[in-house]
Amino acid sequence: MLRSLFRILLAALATLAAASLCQVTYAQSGGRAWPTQTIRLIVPFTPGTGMDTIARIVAPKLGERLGQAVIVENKAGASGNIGADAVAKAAPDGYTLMVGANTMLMAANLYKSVPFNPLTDFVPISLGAWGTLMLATIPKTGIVSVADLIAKAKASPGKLTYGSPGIGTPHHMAMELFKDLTGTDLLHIPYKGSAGAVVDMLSGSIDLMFIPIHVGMPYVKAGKLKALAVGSPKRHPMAPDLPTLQELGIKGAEVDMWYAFLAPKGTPAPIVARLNSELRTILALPEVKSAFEKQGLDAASNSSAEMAALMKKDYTRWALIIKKNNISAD
Amino acid sequence: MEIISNLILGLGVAMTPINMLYCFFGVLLGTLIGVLPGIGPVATIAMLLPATFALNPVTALIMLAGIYYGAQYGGSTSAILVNIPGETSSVVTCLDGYQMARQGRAGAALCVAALGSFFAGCVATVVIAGFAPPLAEVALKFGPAEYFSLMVMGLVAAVVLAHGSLIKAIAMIVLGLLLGLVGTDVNSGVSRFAFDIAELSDGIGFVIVAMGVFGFTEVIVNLELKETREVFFKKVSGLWLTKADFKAATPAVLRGTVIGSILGILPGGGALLASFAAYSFEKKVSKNRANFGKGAIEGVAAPESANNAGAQTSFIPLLTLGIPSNPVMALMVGAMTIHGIQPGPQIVTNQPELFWGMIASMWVGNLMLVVLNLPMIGMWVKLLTVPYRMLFPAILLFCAIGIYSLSNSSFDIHLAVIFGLLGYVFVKLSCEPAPLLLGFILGPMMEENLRRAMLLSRGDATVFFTHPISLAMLVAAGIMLLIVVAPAVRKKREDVFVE
Repeated sequence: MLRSLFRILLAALATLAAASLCQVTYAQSGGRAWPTQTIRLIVPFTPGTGMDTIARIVAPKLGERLGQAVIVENKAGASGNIGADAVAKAAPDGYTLMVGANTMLMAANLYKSVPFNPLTDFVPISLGAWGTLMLATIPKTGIVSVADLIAKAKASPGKLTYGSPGIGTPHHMAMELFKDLTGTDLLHIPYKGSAGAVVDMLSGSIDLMFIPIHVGMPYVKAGKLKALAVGSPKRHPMAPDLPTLQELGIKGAEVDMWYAFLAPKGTPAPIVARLNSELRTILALPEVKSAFEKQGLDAASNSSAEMAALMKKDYTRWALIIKKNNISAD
Repeated sequence: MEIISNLILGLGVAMTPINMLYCFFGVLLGTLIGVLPGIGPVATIAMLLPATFALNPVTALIMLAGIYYGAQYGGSTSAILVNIPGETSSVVTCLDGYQMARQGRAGAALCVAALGSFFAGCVATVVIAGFAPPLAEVALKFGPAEYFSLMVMGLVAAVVLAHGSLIKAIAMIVLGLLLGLVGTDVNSGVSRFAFDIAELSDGIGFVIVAMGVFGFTEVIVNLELKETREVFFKKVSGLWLTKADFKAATPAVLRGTVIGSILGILPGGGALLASFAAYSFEKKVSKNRANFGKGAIEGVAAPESANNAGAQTSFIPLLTLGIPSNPVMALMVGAMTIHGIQPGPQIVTNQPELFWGMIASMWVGNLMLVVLNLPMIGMWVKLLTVPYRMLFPAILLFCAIGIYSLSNSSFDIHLAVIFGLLGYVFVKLSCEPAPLLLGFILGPMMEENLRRAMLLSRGDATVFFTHPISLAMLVAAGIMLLIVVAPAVRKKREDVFVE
């Protein structure tokens, strides 16, 4: 225990030191093999978010395997656009990496002012994790199943409300996709982050929400929320009885969240390959898997090409939904 | 007595040597980051989160909670000594605390802040232990309409906050509201007043504005008044409270504790309002109200007790509902999930050692803070004798580091400098920055809840009057407004008669 205290002290000191070091411009390394200096792993969201946890679990392990420190740097703001833009414009030397999510592809379709192209400005390294969204309602609505929800929503269009942590979040887009596929009309009530939306759901102000399964399950167990389905193509071990939307006959209702490791476009292929192989090993470690599970995430990896294909597929898919339903931001 | 047996269980957990050690480490680190302007508990807890993997979950949470309320203590130190509020909660402490320091009574101000906080912390611990589950239900009675009315009440209170011209106070509040509008609109996603600057699309950070108009401005103003400044650090005296101080501060501490405990329970930024509300209330009811803003000890005692009580009761929605009421609590949720505990309504029954252990540790931690802080007052006061040519660059440097650490962006530092210059203009126009900051905090929340309430009621504005809690708060706001306006009207009438 005392040793842990010492380690915490050391970690605090090291992080402070590293934070100041980040700003120092490094001299070019002459001829030696990559990596010869500290690697920055940019997280475009604030500390404590799912993405940040992924980075903070993976970074020390990656650093150990590469023989260089990997520093997590939070560059939050503008729905992740500030951090992503900084990475898109960073030198493609393998010393600046980032954790991205499918939100990037949604935002790129929603906002005209996104200063980068999520498909062409990055080289995907590997997938990092999947997150599962659960469709939940409150007992007050009396809705017992997805079929019931569709029937009730069709009987009185625009009457049922749903919450989301903000415009263009996977939670929002998932419900828009659901509306589109089922031909229902639900009223969107956006919030700043999920905490407020969850409070208003518990107090009965809003009726429905796509909510990360690990966040929602405690409320379901306490009888405060009623789970209807999961948005992923497979059932989730946390709630094996909960059907998927596809099982219920809603074709194309795949509303996962994914997180991936990306590098700026032009990062040399050997570096991407090395990072990919290290990440695959790390993401398969039992302790990493279990640490991710506690955050409601399923560790996963794939090849750079597979990841690129996934990004392209999602980009087109969301572009279509956004256009068809006339969802706009600015 | 169930509470007593529960508290004994909790103390049993909190008093183990390991947990005591980590609690002490937490409050010590919290005090330090609280004193350093800008470097707040959010950044610190985020950095330390991965390092707590190896610890037992209760131990980890006790330490992280210690950082949080330790920072509340430390934050008042820099507010009193150098007029820099590191935390939202210490903004109002600047008003009278810094004036006390200028009169050579920094010791008394620090002392009352520490003792008031300790008292409030003890009361809040009992409140959590005794009433957490029923109070959590109260929090759920607050929907968008209720929050809107609460914010309206807060804004009226902001008028009371100012002690100069009423018109100027209102102007500052409106300016604060306007600054709060900068950024992406929640309902439509449209970017407002951001001028295509990506850094502005999430709005302006509170710490940036607060550091600018308080910290940076203070340095600029002091540079101008060099000679008069030399005097104030030579007559530092009295590290302890006088009898009169005790008498004046006690009722203020009691009232502040009650207000803070109540507001802290509300998940939507209630704790944020605690110190503002306590100060405004105290200013209305205190016998010494004429001295507010000129170094009244009540003006330090009330908000300091309120913010500590609020900081602690804000754990209620987290521990009973799993709902984080502020960014620090959101990180605590992260800490719990990392340790495999999913916050939610079942935590009290499923994890009694964790729940009661954390509550008991808060009391233990508060005791440690008093023991830690009282002897340190003498040292802090000596800091005032550091010549300004050394103190000023140090203040600016720490401010800059703190602001940079918020989001690793130098843009924020430039923004704070602009606010510093703006703050200097305010000083020259004798406009006060505190109402501006309250408007800045409340504006966006008020707008968000107004529009959400209207969206949910399908455009029916009567919701604000048909919900009983909302109606009660609007009525209270109306009465407060009358109290503020009435003397002004009466005075004008008197003026007319005089002429």
